[in-house]
Amino acid sequence: MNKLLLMLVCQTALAAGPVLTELRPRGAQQGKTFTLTLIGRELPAGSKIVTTLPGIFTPLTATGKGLPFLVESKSDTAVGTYPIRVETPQGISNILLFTVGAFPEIGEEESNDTIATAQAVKSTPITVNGTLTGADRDFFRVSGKAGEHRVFEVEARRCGSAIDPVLEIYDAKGQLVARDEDAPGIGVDARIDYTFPHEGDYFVEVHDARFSRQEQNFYRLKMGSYPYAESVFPLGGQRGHSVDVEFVSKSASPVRTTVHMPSEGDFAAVAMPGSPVLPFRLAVGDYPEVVAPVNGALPVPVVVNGRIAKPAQVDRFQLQVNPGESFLFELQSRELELSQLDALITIYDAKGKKLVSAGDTPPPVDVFSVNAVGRTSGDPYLNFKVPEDTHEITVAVEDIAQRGGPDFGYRLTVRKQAEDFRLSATPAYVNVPRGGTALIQVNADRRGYDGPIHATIPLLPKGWVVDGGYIAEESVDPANQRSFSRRGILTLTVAPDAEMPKSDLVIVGEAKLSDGSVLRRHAAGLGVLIDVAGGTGLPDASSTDRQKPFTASWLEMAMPAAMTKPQPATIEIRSTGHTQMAEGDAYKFEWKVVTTNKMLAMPASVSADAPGVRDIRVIDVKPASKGAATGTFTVTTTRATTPATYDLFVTANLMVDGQREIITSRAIPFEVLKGATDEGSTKVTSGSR
Amino acid sequence: MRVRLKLLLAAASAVAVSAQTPDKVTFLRDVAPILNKVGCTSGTCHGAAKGKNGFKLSLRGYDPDFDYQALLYDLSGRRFNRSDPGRSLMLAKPTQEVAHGGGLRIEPGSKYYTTIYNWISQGVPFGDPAKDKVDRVEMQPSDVELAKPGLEQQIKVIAHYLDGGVRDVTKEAVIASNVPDTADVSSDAVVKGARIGEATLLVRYEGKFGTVPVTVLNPKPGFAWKALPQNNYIDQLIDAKLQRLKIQPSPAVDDVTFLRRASEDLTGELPTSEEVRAFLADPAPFHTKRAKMIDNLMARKSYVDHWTLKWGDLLQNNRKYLGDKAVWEFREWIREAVAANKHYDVFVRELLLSRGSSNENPATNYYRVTRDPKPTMEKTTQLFLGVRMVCTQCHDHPFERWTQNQYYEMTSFFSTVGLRPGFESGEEIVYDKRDDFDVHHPKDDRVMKPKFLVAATTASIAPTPLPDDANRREAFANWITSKENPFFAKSMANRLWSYFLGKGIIDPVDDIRASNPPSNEALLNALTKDFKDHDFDVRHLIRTIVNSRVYQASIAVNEWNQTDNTNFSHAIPRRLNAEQLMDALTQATGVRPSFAEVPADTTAEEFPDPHVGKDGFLDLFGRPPRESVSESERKTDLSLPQALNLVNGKTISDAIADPDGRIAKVLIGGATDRALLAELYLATLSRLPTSNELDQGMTYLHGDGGRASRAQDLLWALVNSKAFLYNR
Repeated sequence: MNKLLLMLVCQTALAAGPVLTELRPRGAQQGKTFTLTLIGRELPAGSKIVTTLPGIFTPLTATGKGLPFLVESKSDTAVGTYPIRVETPQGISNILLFTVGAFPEIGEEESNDTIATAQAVKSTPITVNGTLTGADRDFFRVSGKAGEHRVFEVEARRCGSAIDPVLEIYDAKGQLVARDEDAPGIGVDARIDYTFPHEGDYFVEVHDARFSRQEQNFYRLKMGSYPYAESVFPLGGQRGHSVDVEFVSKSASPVRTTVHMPSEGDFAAVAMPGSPVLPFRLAVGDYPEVVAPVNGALPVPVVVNGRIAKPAQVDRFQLQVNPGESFLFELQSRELELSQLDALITIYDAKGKKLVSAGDTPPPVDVFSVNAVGRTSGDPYLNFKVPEDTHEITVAVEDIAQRGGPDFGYRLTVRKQAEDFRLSATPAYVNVPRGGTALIQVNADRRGYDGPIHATIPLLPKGWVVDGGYIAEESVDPANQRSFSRRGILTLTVAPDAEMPKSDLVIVGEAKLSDGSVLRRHAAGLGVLIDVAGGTGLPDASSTDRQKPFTASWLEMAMPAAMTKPQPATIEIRSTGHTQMAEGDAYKFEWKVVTTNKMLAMPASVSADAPGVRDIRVIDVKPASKGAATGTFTVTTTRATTPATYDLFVTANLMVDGQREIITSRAIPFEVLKGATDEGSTKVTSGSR
Repeated sequence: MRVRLKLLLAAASAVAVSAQTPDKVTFLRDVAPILNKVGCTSGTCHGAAKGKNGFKLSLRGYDPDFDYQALLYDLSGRRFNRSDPGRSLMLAKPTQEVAHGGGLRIEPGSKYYTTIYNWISQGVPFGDPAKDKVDRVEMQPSDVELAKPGLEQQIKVIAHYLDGGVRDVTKEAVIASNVPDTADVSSDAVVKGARIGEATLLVRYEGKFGTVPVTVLNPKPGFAWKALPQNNYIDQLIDAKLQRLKIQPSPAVDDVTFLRRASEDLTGELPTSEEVRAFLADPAPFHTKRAKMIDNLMARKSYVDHWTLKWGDLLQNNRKYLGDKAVWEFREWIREAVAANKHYDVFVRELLLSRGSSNENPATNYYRVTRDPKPTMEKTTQLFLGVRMVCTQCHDHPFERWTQNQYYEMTSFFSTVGLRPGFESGEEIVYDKRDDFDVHHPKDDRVMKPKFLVAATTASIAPTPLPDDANRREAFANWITSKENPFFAKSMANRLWSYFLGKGIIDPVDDIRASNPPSNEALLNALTKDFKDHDFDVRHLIRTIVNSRVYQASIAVNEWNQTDNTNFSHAIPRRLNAEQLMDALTQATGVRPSFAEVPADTTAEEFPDPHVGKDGFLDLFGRPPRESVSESERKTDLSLPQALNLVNGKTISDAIADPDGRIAKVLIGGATDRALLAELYLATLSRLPTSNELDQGMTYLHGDGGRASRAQDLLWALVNSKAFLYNR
């Protein structure tokens, strides 16, 4: 169901408009002029590139596949990844990332699938831009003298590729001499620091860890002798303040520098001085910061920057507290992709008795389950209410598997707040058809707040309307089973003559806390959403492998939005009544397709959904007659359906010029009142949009 | 009314019993053995999981405390009439004085009847466990050698009690033969030789076990031991037993047969034509050149791949449990261990003590497969000790000394292991729980502290008390990999032996128990000692085995060893396993089938798990699904579907007719008939054709249909021959 909803959200939000599928090349050397070809769909001549990559983009005449531009990049362009998007009269495209490096760049030359056919690399430093498809192996031949040092590094996932690279080095006899799969500090990307024991040829192999087929299947292999850091400390700093940052690697002495944290945004890109490696992204916080170890009690609020430097190390912090106070402890380590720490937070009372812990049990809900992938776990957080007679507590931070090292840093935020939540939105951007409607999914990461959340977009251009956004409350039943409610939908509808947005749309979630105050949180945008195919990427019904997608919230985008061409029809939804049944209620609805195109065939299928509602069924979806533009459906609830306000919407598949097109209705509120299923007092707020 | 009458009759017979002066009778020493002997506690009667007709006893009486309580307190104690014992249900039922679904189990007035009668009349005493429990059983004679089939020998079973008392329990003991076709035993403990060979009697009495080896000798006159060369201690110990049994071993095979056999066993590959020619041409002495070839084979990448595959099977490397990325990572971890010849104890320690991210430390996948403490313990004991504990989850082991308590004590070593999802997809974190890891006994919910299956005596291995926290895993790893562990080295030595000789000295290799004794204990002890003396060096032991004459023995038999399938007097043809067969076909035909999940040049032995090529040729030929650690998952028999596939299957026919295949290349290269035939025989059977085969082959090549078609037929015939399909 979740996966279907996500697909629907993506299809209705992105169905029309330009799509970028490939950039050629995927990167370039700083200050070089090069040809960049955009490949995709709906990319007419005159398309405008939207990017933060410094440089001049001059359109070239398209002579083959794609839309070419001559790019004169600035010589002081920082090494890093830059978003590239296309804007056309029919909307905006998705973002693909483009990487600027420090070394000369070449392309991979197929067929280089074996040691015997390895591509010769004549000199280093160099960056090779390559691709991998399925069980592909790419070999490169390099030469070295005895004692010569070389760093081999693959940039893939960091640059928005779905490839999970493996790097291997073979000697001239074909013996494997070095291998790396996931190197410290660079996520699932790989790096080998190697000193040639003998003079001669060596062979560098790159392949995907699962030999999988991916749409975004590129990699950038860097070869050279250069400094790099495997970890950085601290992992962030306070907004507007300077931070002394230490870059650490096993092969060299630490490098230190001072970084000024920006006044805006949540991330700061920080490069190690003198290193050609992609920059680290430090977290930017709003509270005062301290560095562990801390003498005396922690001030609150505070961000503690610590590091589990040795195996089995436990960092302890004292807090002076009062009974009844509520605290929120949030730890950041792996989600910043700067640390290997899988943290365990434990709170002890003054006598050393354990009160509560987090990080040692599976998360209540998969943070990425909104994208229907395999279970993954985020960093731990803890809501803590001080018990009676407790005036001092100790917070302990350690690695759950008792590991430690320079790359086991963390940030522990401590604040007095019992109830909180985070919001994110899918897809990464939205194109709304003129006169039509698009869907957005809103995901809540609850952190102590279990009540209802209403998401909306407060500042909309003229002619834009937002509906929906209800996320019902979450509760724990007597059997200690939690009723997960962490998803909602928004529909955006625009008039045919609506104005274009001048900036990203900002989605705001609003919640009324138990003390009566109102808490508002902005939904983080994904920036980029790259699917990572599970398993081998081949159709395989037996594969249970799911992979979370690549996203780039560090781009700090909200919800980029534009208008696209009108759809051939719209669909409306209307409540027509409700009846009580023995085991729940039945709600009847009517749908109606509105079109001026008399030749348009009526939809082959109509489906309805109300995300987040437990135990509902949509039944009897049927047209009034064969080929009719109207029809009905029924939604049934059971006694297990949680009373709350939800959103209901319908979608229909249309065939237009042989192409499938999905139209969606505006969301209407669908309210189940408390006790309704038992007492027959359930009512549906009537709506007609 | 009828019941009452029967009880009265029973009471009447009981009067006669009570007139005697009874000895002191206890449940432990006297009554429980009767219940076991007459079948009350059997699995088909009251020992069934849910008991029978509302009355439950422990299976085979493994839990006398439970049985005693059940007898005393079920039915509100109505099983006993202490003032009139003969009217007790406990006597009325088995004597069928009242209706009994189990029929007549005890004759009224019999010895067993009297014992129970007296026990009831004495107030049903339980007995003193410190005195009345059996300490051990002794069998007389302890070893039976029958000069020929048809001879018999009475066995006597003596129980030694903890208070020093002894009793002849021959009648109550349960005695069974593991090979009744060779030597069977009657209910009155008389063993009879049925045919030449060996068997073992398992004797069981009140939770204690013993075995009696039985040898039925060949009575045929004229046996004269002909000594064969002995390469090492293996040959000496095998010969010693064979000589005693009057079995003449087969001599070593010729060079080409040896080369094919050793190549397949060590590397999973056929020797190439060039290797065969070079080996035949090597003028070095017989033993020297074979030893050199063994070292050569063991230095190859294919050796690493071959043994990585075996460990992949045993460790259940399977994406169904681990995900698509982890199977490659775990395979690589195993591969590196094999390549580096990581000593076995180190290898096992790293698996057992693994913690952290499954991406960072692939050894943690050991715990990801089974996930929970109980299956992890069962897997660990079966895999590394050859001991199957699964039965003891519910009751004491029926054929071993292992108890239900031990099951939970051993499980407790793994109860601290926790798993949680990692940050990356497919990643999991394996860690030691800080609290809430107690294991409770299902019967009474008591906390079961960790305790070794067999007590260790060295203080460094067995700290007192054993750690009760997460460090218990460390203590377990120390114990299991120690040289004093009675099973660790033995089970691996036995397992390695089985890979080269086709069966274990104890077989199945992962079912070591008293009732499954070694066929040559001296040899297994020597292999075990050698393994320990070389600090669990797997390569050393493999090298030792493969250099022995016993390993190199011919499959051809003589009149003295033709019925022997137990004592390794001759080699046993072994069908190539699924991956070997596919790779052999690849070599023979010069074509490799391609699979989308793996790079083009990947051999079947390099596949990471059974997902690759699923439901195809490999699975048909018995590739294990890797759903358990049992060696029996891999099938190497030859079935009808397999035979049909070999004859008509697309895999073989496509490979033979492939435009880039061997036939096409050789013919395009202009080979003569003689060269073509030599090439085909070398590529398939790893030898040159005999002159007869050459003559017939040349005649066949010039028949109707063209030379290429005929050559394809020949290749097809060769790959369908037993000489190709089997390692001989």
